[in-house]
Amino acid sequence: MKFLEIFLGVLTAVGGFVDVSELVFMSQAGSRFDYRLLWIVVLATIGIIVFAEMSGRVAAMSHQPLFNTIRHRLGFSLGLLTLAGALISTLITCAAEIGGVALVLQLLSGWSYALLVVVATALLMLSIYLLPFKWIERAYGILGLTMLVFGAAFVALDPPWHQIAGGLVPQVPSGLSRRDLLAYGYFAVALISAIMFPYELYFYSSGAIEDGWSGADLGVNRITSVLGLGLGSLVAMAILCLSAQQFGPRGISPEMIGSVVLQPGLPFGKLGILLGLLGILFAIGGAAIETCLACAYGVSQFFGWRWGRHKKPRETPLFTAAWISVFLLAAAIVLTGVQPTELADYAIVTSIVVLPLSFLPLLLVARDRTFMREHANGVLSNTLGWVYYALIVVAALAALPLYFLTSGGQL
Amino acid sequence: MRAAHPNHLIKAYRDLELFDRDDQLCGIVDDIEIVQSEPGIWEMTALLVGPGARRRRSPRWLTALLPGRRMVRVAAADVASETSVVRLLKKAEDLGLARFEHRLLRRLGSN
Repeated sequence: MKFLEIFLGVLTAVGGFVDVSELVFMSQAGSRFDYRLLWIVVLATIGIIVFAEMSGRVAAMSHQPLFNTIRHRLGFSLGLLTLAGALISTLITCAAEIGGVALVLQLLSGWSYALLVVVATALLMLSIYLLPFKWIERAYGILGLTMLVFGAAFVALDPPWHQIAGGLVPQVPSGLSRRDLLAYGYFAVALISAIMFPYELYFYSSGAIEDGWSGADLGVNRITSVLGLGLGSLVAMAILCLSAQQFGPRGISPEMIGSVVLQPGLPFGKLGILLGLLGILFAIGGAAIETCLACAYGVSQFFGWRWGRHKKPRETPLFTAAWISVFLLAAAIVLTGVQPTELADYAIVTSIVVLPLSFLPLLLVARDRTFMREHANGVLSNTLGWVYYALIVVAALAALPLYFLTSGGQL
Repeated sequence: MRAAHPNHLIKAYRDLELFDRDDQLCGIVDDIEIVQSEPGIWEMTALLVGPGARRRRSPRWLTALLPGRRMVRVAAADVASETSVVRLLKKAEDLGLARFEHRLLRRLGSN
């Protein structure tokens, strides 16, 4: 039973790793800087593994939801500021995901985009309403495993392993103009933000409490976060490498989901494109649900409303109203005509700014022996936690200047 | 609960989730009432819940943004335990906690 739990958890994490921002930034980064940003993907993946494991452990041992931890550690005023920032960035992300789902549906059906935004929102809302909590995430994550076609395409196209290995070495590329160096910095920050989105932690830790995790689940937590996120990031790296191989040399900047999905088409033809589209559809559909629920979790946990999808919606009226409102607001944003890729840009910048405030309380409680007893952070978790915290702070400080200096990486 | 420093009491209760005797979440401890029971010893006498309690510790811009003066006082005698959450000995409704949510639950027939 435990093995099945771990197996499904890992599959879900792999299939659900990529969201619309990762899709956009991985392919743009590969096209523009070939393999030279791969090391950032590895660096950020280790970071999200460290914090995901920590948030799952805190949830299992203290049963304190993340946004209550944030309020308890930062106080009401600073906690509220964090909540507001998190809601704004996660709402924009949710809108980007809904727009992405609608774009994929449009590529599959040819129907009107606006109509498909409404259809996608309705289907996602029905998924939350009808599916049992465990299967909301699993259904989308496991169906999103068709994203593995990107990995298969990467292997099938005879990758230049020595260049890829060179990209895994931390570097500031030589020979770039000042403008390109700034853009390189912007993409580095954007990739860190896309991989370490704060909503992932809000959702993961709330899900652990919904599933009633205790000390006995710490092994599941560790394996799911290390293996699931680690293997999931390989799919993201495959997208970056495919883009470096196929788009970069031809001077193509893949700004649309429609361009990214051509990657598996080269070795596998129409079937590759179809599998890629289905994978993207379910992966970003799952991300839309996670972002929506993350907003509802956040506001409910901060103000002490009854929350959780393991309960019937009518037993948690304010929480239910919150997630329905988030979906409606996100759909309204998309219907104004803003492109999902543009929304992904805003989501990346706002999220990285919120990250330090979201992660600090988690670090503080994870090392607190009063709450965590013998499961408090050890030397390794503490060191990694603080090193990554410093990295996040630097990235957060650099994000806005780099965004404006490079016009969102367009320079 | 008694402590040698008021900050210990604040850390032990303030901003933690409140669960009633039926294990239902019924709010957050917005502030606490403390007295010095004897020299050097501080005691929590009540938990304060609601926007009125938050006003006491929030900057003015925030109270303008989140109006409301309602405050429920839960006597220390009604508090069962505190760990990472605070548990109460009575039902939330009997203490007047989470009134709006309970009204909604009654209307939806879930309470």
